[in-house]
Amino acid sequence: MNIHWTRWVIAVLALLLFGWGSGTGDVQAKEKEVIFLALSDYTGPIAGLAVGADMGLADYFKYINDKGGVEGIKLKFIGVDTRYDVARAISAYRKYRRAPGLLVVNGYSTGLGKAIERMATKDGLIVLTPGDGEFADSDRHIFLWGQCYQDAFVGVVDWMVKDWKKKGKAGMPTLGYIHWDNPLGREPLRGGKEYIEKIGVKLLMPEFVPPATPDYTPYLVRLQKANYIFVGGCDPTPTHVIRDAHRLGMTKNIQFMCDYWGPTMNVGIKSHPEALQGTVIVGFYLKGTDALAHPLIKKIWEKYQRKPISKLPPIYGLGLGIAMTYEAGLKIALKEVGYDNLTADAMYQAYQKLTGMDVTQGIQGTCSYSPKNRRGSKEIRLYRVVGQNAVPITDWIVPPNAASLHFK
Amino acid sequence: MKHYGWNVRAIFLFLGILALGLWGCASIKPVPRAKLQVIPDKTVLSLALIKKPIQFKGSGFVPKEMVVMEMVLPPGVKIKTVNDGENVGLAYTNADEEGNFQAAMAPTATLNWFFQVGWTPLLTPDLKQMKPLSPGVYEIQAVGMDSEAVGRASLTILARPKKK
Repeated sequence: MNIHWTRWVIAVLALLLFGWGSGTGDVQAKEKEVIFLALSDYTGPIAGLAVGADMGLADYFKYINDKGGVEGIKLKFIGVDTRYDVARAISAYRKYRRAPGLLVVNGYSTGLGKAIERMATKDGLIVLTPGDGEFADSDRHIFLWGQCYQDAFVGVVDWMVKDWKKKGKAGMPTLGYIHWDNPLGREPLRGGKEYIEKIGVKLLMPEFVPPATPDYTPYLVRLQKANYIFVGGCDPTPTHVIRDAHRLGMTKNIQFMCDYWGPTMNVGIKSHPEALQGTVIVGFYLKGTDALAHPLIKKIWEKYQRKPISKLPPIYGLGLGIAMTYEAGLKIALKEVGYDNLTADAMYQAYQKLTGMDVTQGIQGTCSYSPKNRRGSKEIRLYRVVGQNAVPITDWIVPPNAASLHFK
Repeated sequence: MKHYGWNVRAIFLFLGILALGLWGCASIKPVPRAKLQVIPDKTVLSLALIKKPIQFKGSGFVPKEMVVMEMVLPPGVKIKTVNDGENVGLAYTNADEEGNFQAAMAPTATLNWFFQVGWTPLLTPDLKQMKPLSPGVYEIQAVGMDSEAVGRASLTILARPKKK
């Protein structure tokens, strides 16, 4: 029996409508979520640092999701192991750049941030990067985790001058500088050097070393006339520099000072406590005994990792801080545009409204993101190695703006 | 009223859907034609590739756009940290004013993706953990990040000659 033409059309339309309806039903039933993409390093050269930070990020997102999310919206963490390779990270960025709900991309190298900046700007996305001063006083799409390298460096220099005077010494101290032979190693001096010249500190010729140098003696010998030496690079590099300096007897008369990624309690301080005694380390997030004692860090670590707090990886707390900033930005964006109109640009606008807020419960200083500032926080804190610990020797302090001396 | 057979109606419906599809495709921005050359396009995997890496030359991209070179993994080939169906970024650069480019693999890319080395806490490659890619033909694509133009070529990894 033939079905009448009109009835046939109605049947097809009904089928199409049913199909369309069931398709949207899937979308509607799908959980509301937003994405944080980490272009990280879990098995490569800086895995020792990046793994801890991403554990903190992922655990904090779990913590928020377990409480129902942010206004019912779940936070999704996507971590890609790029093995510290920029080409792999760019390829991964290409894969995810148009993923619905992607608002922020975290890059674990300064080079990566620079490489994807133009695309991220076009895509409206925020890219987080460690501490490149070029972005610090700008309205660009690259946001720093905390204070930029050069400002932290001059914060240490200011501490050094105070320490010198406190010891009753006349004039200004002589400073040595040893860091990786790469853009990271030169970054603190892009503005830091100008500041040192301005205040009259004598800087010896900086020594730039390959990351895996087995013995730093030849470099250290050239810095023997320094009163203070600033050591950079990711742990264990700074630990090994100071180990060799200790062997040469240099730690008796020279005060060693390290940058953000310097000796940590679980790596360098654990392996060479004797050599590192008295070393000063700068941080833009809670380190050492501060991190172990922070109630939220302790609570989330023990809840999700089920290990004693003594096993806390070096920069787990920083991961929490980055995640909490994301949560705070998301809350502002949702308030302003709602979930249905939420875009990466709304998040970009929201991050710039976090100025002066304590979004990390003290894991970092107050937030400094603003329309013309890309520092996660201007505040830094100094620590000293005592026994097997890194203990605070200052509260949060705001160092001078050295980046502005270089990037005008 | 004339009644049409079931098959005639089906043909009309199919043609309607096809017309809609073609109309939709016409509104898509054309993707430029791009070319890629891998230099050399055949190689034995040896650590000499760190000093003299695989290079890429291409054309047909949008001026100044970023171009990323990716290896498309054949089914069954696993690379450390790369999920099934994912491509591996090998190199990147920006196209020049004419949309041409040249790029070379960084040492980290050669070590990570061709040799699949491990890394020591001293930040040095751990060659003991090395799992070099198997000999075979691998598709390489250069993708324009703005234009999405794709140039394709292949890289043949040759078996090491047997020691006499």
